[in-house]
Amino acid sequence: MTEKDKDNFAFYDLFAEARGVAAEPGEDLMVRILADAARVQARPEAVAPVLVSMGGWRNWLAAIGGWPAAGGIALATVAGVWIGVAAPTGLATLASGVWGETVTVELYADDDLLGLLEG
Amino acid sequence: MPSHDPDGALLLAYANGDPLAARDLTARLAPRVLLQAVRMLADRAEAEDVTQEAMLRLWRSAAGWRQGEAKVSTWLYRVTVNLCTDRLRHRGRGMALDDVTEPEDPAQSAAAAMQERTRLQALSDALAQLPERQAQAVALRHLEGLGNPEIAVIMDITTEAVESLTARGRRALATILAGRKAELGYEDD
Repeated sequence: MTEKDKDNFAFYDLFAEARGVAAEPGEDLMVRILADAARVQARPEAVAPVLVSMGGWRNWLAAIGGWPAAGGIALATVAGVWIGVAAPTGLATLASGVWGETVTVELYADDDLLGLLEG
Repeated sequence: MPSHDPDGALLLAYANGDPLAARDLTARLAPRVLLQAVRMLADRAEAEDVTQEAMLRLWRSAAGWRQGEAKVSTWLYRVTVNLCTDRLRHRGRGMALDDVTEPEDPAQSAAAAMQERTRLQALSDALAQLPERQAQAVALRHLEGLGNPEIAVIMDITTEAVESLTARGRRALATILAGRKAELGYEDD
C-alpha cells in the first residue's frame, strides 16, 4: 500500500511539480564556489570549522577565556603558593592591622592521634 | 570509505592540495545541491546562496573529513536541508512572485507559468510553516524522492521516526494549503 493509498493528502501533484523543476548552476555561481574552494585550500587552517564537540579540558579552557586566562590563573596560583611558603613580613603586620590581633592556625594537631587510637 | 565513495576520494584529493579536485567535485555536486534548494525555497537567488554556503562547508570539512563514516552526498543532503529550513524560518512573508524560479518549458503559456510559480511558492511557504524536522523529512521524501532508510541516515533518526514526521508533515501541509485550493487551481471537493 502506497502513501497515497494510506492518506487523503490532496497535494501530491504539487510535490511532483516541484520535483519537475529544472535548475542548472550558472557560470557566476560556479566561479563563486571555486573561488571559495581555492581560498580554503590555500589556507585551510584559517577557515577551519568550529568543532561541535571539543572534549572536556578544551571546553573548560574555552569557557574561562582561552590560554591567556589560563596563564593568569597559573600565575595567581604560583603567587598564592609562594605567599604561603614565604610570607613577607609586611603581610603579618597588615593582618594584625586588619584583625587587631595575631591569629595562629595550627596545621597539625598537638595530640598524637595515632596514640589515641592505640590507647 | 563506504562502498566506494568517489566524492570522498575527490574530497581527500582536494584536502591534499589537488588543484583539479574542487572543479570535479563542484561539477558533480553543485547541480544537485542547487536543485534541492530550489525545490524547497522556490527562489533561485536564495537557492544559489545556499549552494555556495553548502559547498563552502564542504571545503572547510575536507581537512578533517572522516573517511568511512559518511558519504559526501549524504552529508550534503543534510547540510543543504538544514540551510534551507534555516532560510525558510527566517524568510519574510509575501515574497514577490518575480523572485520565484522560472519554469524551463518555453512553450508554457504565461498564465500557466504564473500558476506554476504560485503553486511552487505556496508549497515552499507552507513548508516554512511546518516544524523544522517535519519540513526536512517532507522535503527529502517528497521533493527529493528519497527512501525512508536514506532519510533516516541523513537526519540521524529511525525509519519509523521518518515515517511519523512525513505523515504529520503531510497532514499539516494539507491544513495549511486547504485555504488556498482555489488559488492553486484545485477544484472544490
